Amino acid sequence: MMEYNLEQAIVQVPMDLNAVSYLQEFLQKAYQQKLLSDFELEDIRFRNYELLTNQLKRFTCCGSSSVPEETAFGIQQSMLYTIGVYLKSLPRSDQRIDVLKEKSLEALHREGRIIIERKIYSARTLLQSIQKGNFTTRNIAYNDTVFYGIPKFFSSYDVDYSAHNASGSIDYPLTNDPMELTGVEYVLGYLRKLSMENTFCSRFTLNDIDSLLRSYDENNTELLINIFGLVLTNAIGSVLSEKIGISLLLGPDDIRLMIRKLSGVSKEELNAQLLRAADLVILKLNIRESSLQGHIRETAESLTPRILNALENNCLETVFLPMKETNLRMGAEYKDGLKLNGDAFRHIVEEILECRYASDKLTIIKREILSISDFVDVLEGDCIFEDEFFSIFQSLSSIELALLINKSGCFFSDHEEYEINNEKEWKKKLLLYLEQTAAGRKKELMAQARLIHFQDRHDPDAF
Amino acid sequence: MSNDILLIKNPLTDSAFAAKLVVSGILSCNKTTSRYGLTLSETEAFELAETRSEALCSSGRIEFSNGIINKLILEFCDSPYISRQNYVDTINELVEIFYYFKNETLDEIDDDDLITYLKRCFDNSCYGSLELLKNRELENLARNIRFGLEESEDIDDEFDEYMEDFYDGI
Repeated sequence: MMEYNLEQAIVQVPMDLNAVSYLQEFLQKAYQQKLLSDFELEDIRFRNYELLTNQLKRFTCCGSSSVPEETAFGIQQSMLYTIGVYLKSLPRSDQRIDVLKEKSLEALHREGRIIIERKIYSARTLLQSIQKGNFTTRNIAYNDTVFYGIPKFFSSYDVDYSAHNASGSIDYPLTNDPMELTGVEYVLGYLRKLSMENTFCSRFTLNDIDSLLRSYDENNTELLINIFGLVLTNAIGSVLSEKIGISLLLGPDDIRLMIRKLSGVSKEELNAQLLRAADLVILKLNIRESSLQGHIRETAESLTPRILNALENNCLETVFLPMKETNLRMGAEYKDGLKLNGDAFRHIVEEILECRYASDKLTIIKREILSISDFVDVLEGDCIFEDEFFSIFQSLSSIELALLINKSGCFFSDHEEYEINNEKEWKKKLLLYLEQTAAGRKKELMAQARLIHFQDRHDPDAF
Repeated sequence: MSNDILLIKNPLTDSAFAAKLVVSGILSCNKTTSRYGLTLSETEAFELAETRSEALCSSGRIEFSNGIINKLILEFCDSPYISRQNYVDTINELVEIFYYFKNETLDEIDDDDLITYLKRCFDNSCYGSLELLKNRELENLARNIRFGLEESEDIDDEFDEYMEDFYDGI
């Protein structure tokens, strides 16, 4: 008889395969690698038939000796799925081979069923937390899926005879839907990703997200769109357009800046830039869950072909969505980025003080400062002097300027009567800068600033 | 090697050994049926086993435990309408009818109940006619089930009607 070295048995089968295909492929590879002999494989086949017969007897309550082929096929798929789920749960491939050889398939099926029950429980708990979570939207597909479609799955899922099927209705699309999976594995995978996406979206105000979606389409509630994808794209856009903090509010000048920066870059360089931007988004939004970090990076990378195509066709605004004026006129809630702690902030101010040129100071500010509040503190920190203020203001986008004007409070007073001398240095410089700006642009900035509702972030985990 | 490494392989239908098992099962019924002057030769038993395989195939069904041929033989052997001359043909036909109507009745009726119903109709309302059994009685039953009428109710009602007619005639 042949000797098999099971200690070293490595049968590599992708875990993201659905459990039925996983089991089939695992057996196939184990057989090809001679980890299973002809006799052992035949034995597994016979035990498979025995288990199927028992399952069919249970299904017909011993009342029938035959069933339609499709019924038998469905029950067999369900049975293989359940066994596959159990095999997937084992950490090493030699353990999988051991149990296939030594345990009865009935026992493996029982173990698999227990794991499926646990997965159902996890999925149910996750759905409840999504339903009660912070993220809400008026998108019909989202609400139908979360409040009607997936709950239907729990009431109609047949663990015994149709475990490989996911009944219920899931309409809302995810960025990277785990479509290879089936049954409860798919539903759980879907809910995990949806939960991650919601966690990310809840870092922004619902108002900002709503404005973004309206910029995408006025009838966005009726569309099958992935909200996370749109939110993340604009968040990455705000990094690429060198905004302070992460904001979904991109303006036409941000798009122009991105076109200038990205035109002519190679696919590899763009990919690298997007990954760097994704990392900054992760850092600035203080995202710690590694699975969400991975999802963000994966989604950011998937933007590469779309951006290249948009640059080629001169339509980058179809990827990074600029806020429509009508949306801005309606007002926007701005959730500020994370405030740095005292030590980190002092360190940055010292670093700025050491710089000789305004451009170097600006680079540090763009790189290190995560919120408008900290930016204002830097302006008030006696580390920016005279004309350097103008260089900094010039580098800001319209929305950043509007945010700064809003923070300064200057627009509340009639300009003619405004007592400028009592104000801080940066405010005086800002007003002076606005004086020199074209009248139309100044009016627009003032109007935008007036409509922004500022929200400070109070994050206990701020670093 | 196929991708479907665990494709359904039915030892009761997919091998020569399986055919022999079915045939010996059929032949074992001779002990009971011989009391009614009905016996099957080995060739006739093979023919019946072949009919069973074809009927399963044409009705798209899979049999997973002891087949129904034995049950049909034992149920029908005392029928006044079965003789040595039509025995093999009738059982062959009944096997086909059985699987066909398992599908038509949407698997709602257990094997034993369906066989009992077949026998009752065959001996009573059909007077031994397989055509009437198939085209009238079973079609009616299948239609009632598809339209949601309780088949047991239906079966019982018909039986009661028959018994009333029977006693009226006495």
